[in-house]
Amino acid sequence: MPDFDPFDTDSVARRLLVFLRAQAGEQVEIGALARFTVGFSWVTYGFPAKWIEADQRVARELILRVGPPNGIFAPYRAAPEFAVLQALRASAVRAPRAYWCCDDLDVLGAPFFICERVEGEAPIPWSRDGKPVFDEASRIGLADQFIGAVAALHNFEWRGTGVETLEGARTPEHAAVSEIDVWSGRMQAWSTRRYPILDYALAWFRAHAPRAARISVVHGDYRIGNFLVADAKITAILDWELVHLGDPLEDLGWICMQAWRGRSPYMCHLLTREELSDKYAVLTGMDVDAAALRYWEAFGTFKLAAMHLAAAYSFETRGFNDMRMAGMAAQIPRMLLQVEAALEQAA
Amino acid sequence: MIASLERVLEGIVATLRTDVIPKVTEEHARSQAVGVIDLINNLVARVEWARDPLLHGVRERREALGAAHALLLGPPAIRSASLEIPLAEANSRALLAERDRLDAEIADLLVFAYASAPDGEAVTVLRKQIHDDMISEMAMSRKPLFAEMTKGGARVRDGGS
Repeated sequence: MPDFDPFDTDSVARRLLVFLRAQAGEQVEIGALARFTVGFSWVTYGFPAKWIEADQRVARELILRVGPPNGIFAPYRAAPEFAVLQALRASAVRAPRAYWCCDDLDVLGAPFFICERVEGEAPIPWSRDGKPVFDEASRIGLADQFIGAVAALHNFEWRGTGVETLEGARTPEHAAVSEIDVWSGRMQAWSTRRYPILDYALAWFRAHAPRAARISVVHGDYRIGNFLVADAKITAILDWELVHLGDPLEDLGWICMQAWRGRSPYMCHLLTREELSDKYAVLTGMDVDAAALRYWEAFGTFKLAAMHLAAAYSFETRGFNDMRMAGMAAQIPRMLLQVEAALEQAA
Repeated sequence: MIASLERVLEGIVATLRTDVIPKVTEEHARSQAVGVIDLINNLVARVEWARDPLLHGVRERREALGAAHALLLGPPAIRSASLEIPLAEANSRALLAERDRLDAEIADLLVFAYASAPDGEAVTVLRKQIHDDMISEMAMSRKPLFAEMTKGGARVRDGGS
């Protein structure tokens, strides 16, 4: 099995070309890989490619995403995200077109998938001194598209599609408990150090688990920072690595988290909590229970805290030498306080 | 925070060596970066996490645990031995280990107390200690630079400070 060295782009490109020629023919050509700084998990490169499809010469800008063996959520699997992206081609959700994926470690030394490169910039949630991220006209326009996309995802009829094999809950009664079990297990795997507020949070979540109105495809990381914008339009929803089946309100709670809005009154810098609930209800026919929304917001904050433990673990134990991981580890106290505050809001 | 200060410094040096310096094209800037590595290498054997906040944290934890135990009937047994040497003589490494041991004990006791009486006095005592400790930790934490990290260090319109 080759070692995956994210900085050795020549080696990655050579191996990638062998893979692509096996998939799409010997005429495949690719250009140099350019590594992007976006994303704290998968290693992301952009590259141009040419191949022949249905007797036509095709030229595309593509994205290669590789799950590093020592990365924050290792061990990675590319197939689930790939299956979702393919299935969603039949939906109203704007997701990048996925071309190929591979979980065979003998190819690049790590799982990877290849999708189209979509035009646009990813607005980020962190702003100086609470300044608005968007001007007012952009905010209003993007808010409708943002809520429209998540409603379309939750309305997507996943039964009978490739999404059916996803991990997660299958019954409304178990949606919350299923997620608690998953994230409790991850937390224990990522940290031998115990954080009492997180143990307390788990006990509270189990005692107050809501019943889901239905089971939907849940993005798992739906927020500002994970969509692209070009010409005031959302061109793609990104970062599907936490996708699973579960309570759709989990995505709405995640949208409402303090971490994505700073001091802004708008969830994800886009819309108020009330607008979010009202617009979502119109688009899905599903009323948003305010207490359940607060529950999932608190649970999301717990999840984000656990991700910070994962960052610390990948840096300290797995030797993942990305200083952004150490930077996240330094923010664990901030996350723990946010968990406490979110629990108090939910109680 | 990363528990091992040695690992943090080693990571900084490795990042400069493999990720940063090879991409720096200006000779003076490269020599300055190597100077940073040289300095860090000489710090490794001389630094440890600040002892006073650790000592304070351990004392607060012990006090809260004692108070909560006194309020509960049949609390879970303590699962590991406490620090054998007097706190006043313990170095930072020993205090870190003792802090972590106490946090595990507090977590178990809090879950036990919550199951018995969610709004009981023992829960209040333990949650106050947890809250106060988090506030102390936050006082030592700086605002993250995630905006700049995400944009590759380029100046951003609303970049974090």
